[in-house]
Amino acid sequence: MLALSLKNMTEAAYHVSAAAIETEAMLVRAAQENPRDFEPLYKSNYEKIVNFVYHRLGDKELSFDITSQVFYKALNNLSKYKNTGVPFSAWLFRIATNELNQLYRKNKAQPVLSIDTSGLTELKGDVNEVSTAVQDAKLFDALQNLAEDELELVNMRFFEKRSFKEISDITETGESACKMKLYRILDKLKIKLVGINE
Amino acid sequence: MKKPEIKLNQDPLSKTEIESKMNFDKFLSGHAAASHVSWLSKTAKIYLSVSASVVVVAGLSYMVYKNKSATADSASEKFINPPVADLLVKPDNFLIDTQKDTTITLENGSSVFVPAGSFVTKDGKDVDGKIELSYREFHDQVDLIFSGIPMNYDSAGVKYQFESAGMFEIKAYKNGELLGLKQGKEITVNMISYNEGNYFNVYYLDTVQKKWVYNESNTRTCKEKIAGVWDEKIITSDVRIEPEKLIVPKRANPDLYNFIIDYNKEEFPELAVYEGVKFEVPKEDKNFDVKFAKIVWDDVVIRRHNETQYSVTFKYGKKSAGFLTTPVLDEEDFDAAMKEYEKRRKEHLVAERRKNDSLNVTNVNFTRQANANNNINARFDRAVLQGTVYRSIVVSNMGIWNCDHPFRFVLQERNEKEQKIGFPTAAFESDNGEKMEMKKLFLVKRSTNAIYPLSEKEFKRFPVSIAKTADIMMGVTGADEVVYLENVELKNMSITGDNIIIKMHQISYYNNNLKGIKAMLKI
Repeated sequence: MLALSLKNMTEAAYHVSAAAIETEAMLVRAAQENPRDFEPLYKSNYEKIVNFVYHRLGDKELSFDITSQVFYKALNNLSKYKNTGVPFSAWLFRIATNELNQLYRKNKAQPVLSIDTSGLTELKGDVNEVSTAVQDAKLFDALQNLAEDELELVNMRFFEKRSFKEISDITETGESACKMKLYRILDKLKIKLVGINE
Repeated sequence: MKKPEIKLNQDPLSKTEIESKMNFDKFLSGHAAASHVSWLSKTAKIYLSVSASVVVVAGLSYMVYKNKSATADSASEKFINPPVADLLVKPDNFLIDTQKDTTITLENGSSVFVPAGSFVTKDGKDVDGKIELSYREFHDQVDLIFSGIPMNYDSAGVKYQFESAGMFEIKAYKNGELLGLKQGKEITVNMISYNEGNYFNVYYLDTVQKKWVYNESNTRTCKEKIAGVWDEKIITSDVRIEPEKLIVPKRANPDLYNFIIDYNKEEFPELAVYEGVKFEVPKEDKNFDVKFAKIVWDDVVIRRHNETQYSVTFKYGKKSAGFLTTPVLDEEDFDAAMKEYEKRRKEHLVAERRKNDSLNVTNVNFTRQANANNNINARFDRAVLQGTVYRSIVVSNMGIWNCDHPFRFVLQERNEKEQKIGFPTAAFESDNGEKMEMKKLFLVKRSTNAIYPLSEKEFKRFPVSIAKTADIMMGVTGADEVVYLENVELKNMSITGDNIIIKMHQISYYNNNLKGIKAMLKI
């Protein structure tokens, strides 16, 4: 088993205080009574959602359309929303993920993995602790062959630089389960790329 | 699912691109339309083949609904509209058992008493088990501004602003559903008040009628309790002028000019305690002319300038003359004035001593009592005895309650130029010269716990002379930035032609919270 430290990974700034979550819950209640009061939630989450969608579609116009769709669905289903102590954005991310999956399944859009150089370097470092000299093409191929949920986890952690807490909130999976899963995915990638299994 | 396409270092979305697409009003109208289209198409599927008239009816219903909805939304937007969502006072939330009487005590000393079986659902059914009680208070001008709650009151067609002695919002929920108060049940809130006066009424915010509703019984009880606080303070109204505010009598200088003014004795009690006060003009004041004595003036305005001097302005038509004066007494009145001064000073000291002794005794007694009996009334009594004022309000509806005094902001009238050509056209800029679009603007006086909102019309045609009367002008930009301008800067605003550029300071990132804003603006 590999001893993965994820040492190169910079911890993303994601801390939402209990008070902030409570304020959001209050805003949700207000919006449940009057859709006009959805505005603060719309404004504070719009940028996060459109970036999330764009990251997975790579098409600006389509990303804005899908983002609108996400907020329509959120507002339509707001009466069903229950505050579980996680940020409201986590619920929006889940709606966005569902919307994207529907698009992909209906072949209306090509899934995209947006990779930035810094995230790539960090991923390479964690896959091969000795050297980051892993060939990009090989890594891309390995990533493309990961299962949907595995790729999503790598994407959120390395290329969107989300903390385990946030990933846990979005995927509704425990933090330790997320970490464990990611370690296993990295193990898998390492075997494919450098052929080592310690 | 297809294999993902790898995009390396994809161009990110720019802020401008995002902002250009983020339009809540458009989103909301699209959402409303989309909801109705979906409903209409379902109806059409069922009835289209049966009867065309059904579809027409459905179409009409849609129109009526849409119009009603739009009106309600726009009215609601004007009614309670927090300018920055992140700067709302955060509520305290409590999980309480509806089967038991519950008393909640907040960190600031306020308390809420909820009797058992107080809540009902929207359809009037009793609520059992645990419920979530949400409570928050608004105490000062910054809280009021960011609450978005309208702080004005219309009485007999006259518009007033509210001076607040504290406002609170109380709500209850069960599984996310808003609950109501059961008929006949009452929640008692003892809210701490940082505004001691005994002239505040109690109002409830009727969110259906969209107006504040005066509550007579609570007002009466509140005033009686506060009167009790004043009784405890022992000091009579005459002695209430503290020694440092009393003016030490001064003899008139026979070489200087003085004059008598029939001033308002209630406005200047420190002068009214002496008989025969005159106003003496210092030698160095060049504004004074002996010829003034021959003019019959229309009006005179007196203002305290400092601890010993008063500014006096005489007015006659468009002519005015202002200078500084010192209150003095002629020889025949001086001795009597000195005696009065000494007498009042001693009375005040005795009253102070009696008050302190009384508080020491009651504090000891209270500690014993409070340990034995931690009920809500005891807490109120303690507050009274220790000089802290609480407003006791019996809540008969869940929602927003306010202890307020309707008053009219004393605002300077338009100056001559403004009367002739109107207010200048304003543009707002940051200190760096970047243009700012103002969403909200308020005038604030530190001494009065009230806010004066400027209308959107006034953002454009800016009432300079009115703004100059405020201690602070505070605003929120279209980008939700909090901006402000202090009194000195307001006074120095200069107008070029018909235009004015107003440079507003931005609240720094680190102070962009209620506490930080209050500290920065000394509120």
